Amino acid sequence: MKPKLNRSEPPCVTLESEIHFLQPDRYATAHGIPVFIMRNTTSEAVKIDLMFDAGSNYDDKTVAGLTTELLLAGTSNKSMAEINDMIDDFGGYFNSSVSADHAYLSIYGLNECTVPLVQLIEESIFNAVFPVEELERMKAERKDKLKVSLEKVSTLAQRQFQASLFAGTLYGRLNQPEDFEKITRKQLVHFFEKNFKCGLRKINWVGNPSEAEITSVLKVFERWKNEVPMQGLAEFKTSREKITLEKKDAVQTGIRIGKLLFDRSHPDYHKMTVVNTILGEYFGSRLMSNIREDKGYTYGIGSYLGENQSSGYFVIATEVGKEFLEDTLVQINLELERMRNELVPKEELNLVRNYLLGQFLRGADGPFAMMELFSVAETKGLDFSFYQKALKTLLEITPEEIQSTAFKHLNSEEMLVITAG
Amino acid sequence: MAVVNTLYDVGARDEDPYHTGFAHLFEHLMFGGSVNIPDFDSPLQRAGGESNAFTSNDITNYYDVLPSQNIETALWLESDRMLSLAFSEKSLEIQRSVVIEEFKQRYLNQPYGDVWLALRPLAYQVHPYQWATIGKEISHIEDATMDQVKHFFKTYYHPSNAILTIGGNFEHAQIEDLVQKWYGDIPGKNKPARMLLREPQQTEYRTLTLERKVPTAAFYYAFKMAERKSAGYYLADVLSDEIGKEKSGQLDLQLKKEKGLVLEISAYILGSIDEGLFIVSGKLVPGKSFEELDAALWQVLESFKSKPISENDLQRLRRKAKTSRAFQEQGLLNRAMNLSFFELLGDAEGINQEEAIYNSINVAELLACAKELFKASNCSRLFINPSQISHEA
Repeated sequence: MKPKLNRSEPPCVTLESEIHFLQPDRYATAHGIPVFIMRNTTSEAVKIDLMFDAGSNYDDKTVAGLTTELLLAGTSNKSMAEINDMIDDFGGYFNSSVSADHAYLSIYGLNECTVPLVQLIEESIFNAVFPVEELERMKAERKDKLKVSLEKVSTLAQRQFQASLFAGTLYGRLNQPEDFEKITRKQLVHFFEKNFKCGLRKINWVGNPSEAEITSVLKVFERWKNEVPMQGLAEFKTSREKITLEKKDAVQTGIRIGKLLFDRSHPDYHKMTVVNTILGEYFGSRLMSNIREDKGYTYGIGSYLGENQSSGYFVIATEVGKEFLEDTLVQINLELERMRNELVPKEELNLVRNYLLGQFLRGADGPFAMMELFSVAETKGLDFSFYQKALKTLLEITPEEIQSTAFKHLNSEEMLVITAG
Repeated sequence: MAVVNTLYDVGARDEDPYHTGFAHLFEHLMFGGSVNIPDFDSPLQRAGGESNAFTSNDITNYYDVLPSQNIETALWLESDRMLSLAFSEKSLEIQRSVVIEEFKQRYLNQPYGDVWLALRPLAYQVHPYQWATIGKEISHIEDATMDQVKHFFKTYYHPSNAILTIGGNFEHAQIEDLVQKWYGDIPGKNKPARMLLREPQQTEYRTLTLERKVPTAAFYYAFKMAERKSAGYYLADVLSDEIGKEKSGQLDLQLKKEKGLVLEISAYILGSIDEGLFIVSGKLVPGKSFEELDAALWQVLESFKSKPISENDLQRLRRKAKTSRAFQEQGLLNRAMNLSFFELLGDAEGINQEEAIYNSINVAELLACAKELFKASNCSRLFINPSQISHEA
């Protein structure tokens, strides 16, 4: 006879605590720019990322963004539309992004067309002329996007947080819509020569190329250099502030609470990852359980560890109904104090440990994810042992260590409190 | 890794006009504990997994991603909430509040956030696509009662109305046994009949202009297009790719570059199962008028009705589609969701026929499709005009 199913009893779970990291092959161009190749043997999909030392910190705040957007906007003998049609001919796609430190250009395609696609794109960016009319259109578009963004309480709070956190350094600069107006083509050309042509930092290539194809691509990039002097690390001195921005008619208030911390090379980083997860990094976190699932004040709340080339920070971010602002701030403080003064129950720690192990597995699933893991570490001068250490910390961390880490780094007295709404 | 995807054949189109937003609110309640398990998320997290869901006008889709060896945890959890919910009063009260905050965050407290709340009822006069998944208004969410929740569950949440897709490196027999074990005793009920009002053929150009506190004037042209299961759907999809091509499409070349009328412009389809919408939308360059835009836009659309696109352009679209398919197929979750959706359309096998359908499309068919689509009598047009913005902050 079939035994009656007991639905209250969870099935057994097991978790692997080892991850097999795959090292990409390392090549270099004639000028010594590293090219990392991660094999994708199960699919024809190819992704090539070019990373440049061309972040917004290197010039007027808006120059890097405009230059990056216009890399494929035309050469002396090809228009933007022609270049785009030719990329389409190879079934290619591209996109770009910019942070304070770096600019990225990502190319997507198939193995069968990788070499000609890369040749076309390299040729088009190396000879980019940044046509004035494309620049003017891009300026208008970016200005408008920023204006729209400035209507959101989340943006207002985030910008003020960044300005206060990084006050007095390049990271703390904010751009205004009118800043776009004064940018000239000459600035872009200058920035391109200095930070792109002489600022190619590395190439990440996920695909399945032959040796001949690799040789071709290395040759394509032989005229690119990296001579951008390392920027001195910024020295941040945040003073504790409480800033309230008014936005009439807003029905929600954006909140950012946080402080300077450290980046992933700091000895407490792995422990802090666990602390942050318990507090606010997953759906069952304390902030979500309290402020969303118990009180219904918000659609979502989370805490994050962010970083740039110089350092890192901790931030709690949410948007709450206006009428809930006051109690939300009280509850956030309460949760911070609880992290600092109480031991995490064993059951909760077990859950978070398993959840994070699962996150690790998901984050290492497939060649694209593996390349991402590798590259994030490599940019910071680390390697896969960084993740091995993270795993070890995760498996061994005790409630006492969690509390002492939180006690050291999550003092609400030291935090910026920004609200907008 | 493994994926468990559960699609329920119920969406905002199944709501009654006086209680909209219910399918989506209900999706939130599905995480508030089931009959034998007080909390959905913790056991899944303990198994190294994570979960989420989305509601559209057509479907409600739940998914779990977790390490393969713990697949049974997901089946245990999903089957229990298919069997019955806990129907906790507190969960209803809290999720009502969460969804109201979601309404504010995404639709009210955002520039252009309420565009779809205005455009849908303009384009659809009787079909339930006239409201967005979040609902027509906040009061509908405030008024939701536990009785309605129970009734909704009874009607739509049972095996006959669900599609379960499991992805991962498994033996078929092993999964078959597990599914039998956890779902075998859940009563299969009758699949609810769907009797939606058919949208009558549109015969007039519908236009609406709204004043909103936004920085820039915006425009939305919504053309009625064929339903998901017809050939016309694929034609409209390809046509939107061609017309809306960023940086080299005709809308971009003519309206942005040549005439300097728009800051940005795009064309896309909404992808709904019933008669859908083909959207052309964008933003005006400050100082330009809607009249100039309107004339120039129709001129471009007319050109697609009088002259077929080139074979070359069609070839390019095919090559791009091939690349994007290769990337979509990278993700297990993506594949599981797509399989579920095709099964809903009639046959999971359909996923393997799409490529051939797209590749068989020719330029003459696209011309015919453009002629059908781009008529004023098939169009609903919404202009958003900036009212004075207050500059504080």
